[in-house]
Amino acid sequence: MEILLFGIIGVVVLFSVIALNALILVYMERKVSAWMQSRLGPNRVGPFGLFQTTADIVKLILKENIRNDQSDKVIYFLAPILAFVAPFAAFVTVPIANTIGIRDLDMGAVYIFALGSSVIFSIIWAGYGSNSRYALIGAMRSAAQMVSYEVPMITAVLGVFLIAGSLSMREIVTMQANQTWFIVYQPLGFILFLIAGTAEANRAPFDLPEAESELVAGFHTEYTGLKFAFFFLGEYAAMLVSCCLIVLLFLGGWLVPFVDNSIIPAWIHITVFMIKVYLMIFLMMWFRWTFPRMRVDHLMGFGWKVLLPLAFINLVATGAVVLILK
Amino acid sequence: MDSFMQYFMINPVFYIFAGIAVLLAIAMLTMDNPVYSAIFMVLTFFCISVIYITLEAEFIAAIQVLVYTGAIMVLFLFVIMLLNLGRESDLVERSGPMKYISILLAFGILLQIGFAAKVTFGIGEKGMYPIEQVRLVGNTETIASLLFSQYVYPFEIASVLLLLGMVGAIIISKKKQE
Repeated sequence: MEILLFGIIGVVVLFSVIALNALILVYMERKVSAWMQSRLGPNRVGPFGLFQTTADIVKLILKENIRNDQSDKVIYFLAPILAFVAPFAAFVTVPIANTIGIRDLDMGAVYIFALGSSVIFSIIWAGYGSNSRYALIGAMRSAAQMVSYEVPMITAVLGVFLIAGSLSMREIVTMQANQTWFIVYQPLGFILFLIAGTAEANRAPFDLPEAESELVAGFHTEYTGLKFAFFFLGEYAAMLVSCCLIVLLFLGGWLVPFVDNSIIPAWIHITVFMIKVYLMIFLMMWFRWTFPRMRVDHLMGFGWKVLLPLAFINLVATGAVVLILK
Repeated sequence: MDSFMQYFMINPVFYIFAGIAVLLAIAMLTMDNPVYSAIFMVLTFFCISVIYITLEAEFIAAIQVLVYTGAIMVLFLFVIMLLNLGRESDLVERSGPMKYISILLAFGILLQIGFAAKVTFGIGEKGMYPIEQVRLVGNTETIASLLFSQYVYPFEIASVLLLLGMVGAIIISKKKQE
């Protein structure tokens, strides 16, 4: 019974955090993009335009739910749900401070990668279910991209697991408390993971699946209203997950640098973790508004011919060093 | 029936998800549209990974999802690209006599499984790696140390086989271009 209650509370808290995060991120993205392009961004609704996103969500909910007549009803309906559920479930193993997290699994990292890879299904289902050419081409591109960028992403992060000797997120951060942040040992791994993680989250410059100039809106072309909102929510949740992963694996999680962390209260740890995560999100937004979109064949070539060999070199070198030091 | 209820009460999650998995597997086999079959296959694998979680084998559960999502993804793309899904009527193909023979065979296999289950149904003896021992060192470490010591040959053979398949695919695809 207690477990059930704990689970329900966890789900409610998690859902509010993710929804709130999406609200903040939409506002942040608009302000960042405006800033990069010398514009003002939203500034009409509420102070500094803070309620613009809320207004947009109300608009999205009130919109008519249009469905393509030829679409595959079941698949079309399931796709946005999965797009949201998978990153949502990935948060279960993300600890935000030493003792605060829903559950610390023995193989937390593998769990997160497993759920991250199942996001592809929602995109493919959306593409197939919509019965629209733009959507299908977007989905096919997306599948190719995610399958090929998953390989360098996981290979790049194996170095961290080798050093930490564990797959549990909490233990990896504890190891970083005893030594230094893993970005110091794994600079190449960090860069590779950052690039591949951006590609996995389908963010620009790797947003080929929804390249507006070529594919209208890619896999979610045929989605409107609340269903579209779910894709949106899922995408921002996925972005939050990958930024949390980067922070936990490479940037010391909730650790405060140059200080003895055992005496610091939990709320400072949480704040520090949040600051780090949002800095990483800012970095991803920065990518989006400064780099032009890659061409689709360049994208695949870059993944397989540049990132993957580098990831292998990183892995072998790390393994050798770990073996020698043992 | 009494004993079944007893088992059910011990581990309800297992029986619920096992039932769903069986239903999904049947649905996978009986679908006319291969895309639906692929979807039901994914869902079946998800249910099986839940069963692994109830056994506290979280590592295998995660690997199950991680490996099969990639595999089924490829299957999915094959279905969409290689089969012409434009006309539904093309997908339905049933041959008369083969159908009855297969029903007979399936019934035989089912009977065999039933007998096997009757003999071994219930909680057996503890194996070499009971959950208490696994909990001490952790899931991942138990599997890793077994894979790289006792089962290193099967492990290596499996990886060489996979490499072989990959090299073969590359050679075949390059040959056609020339």
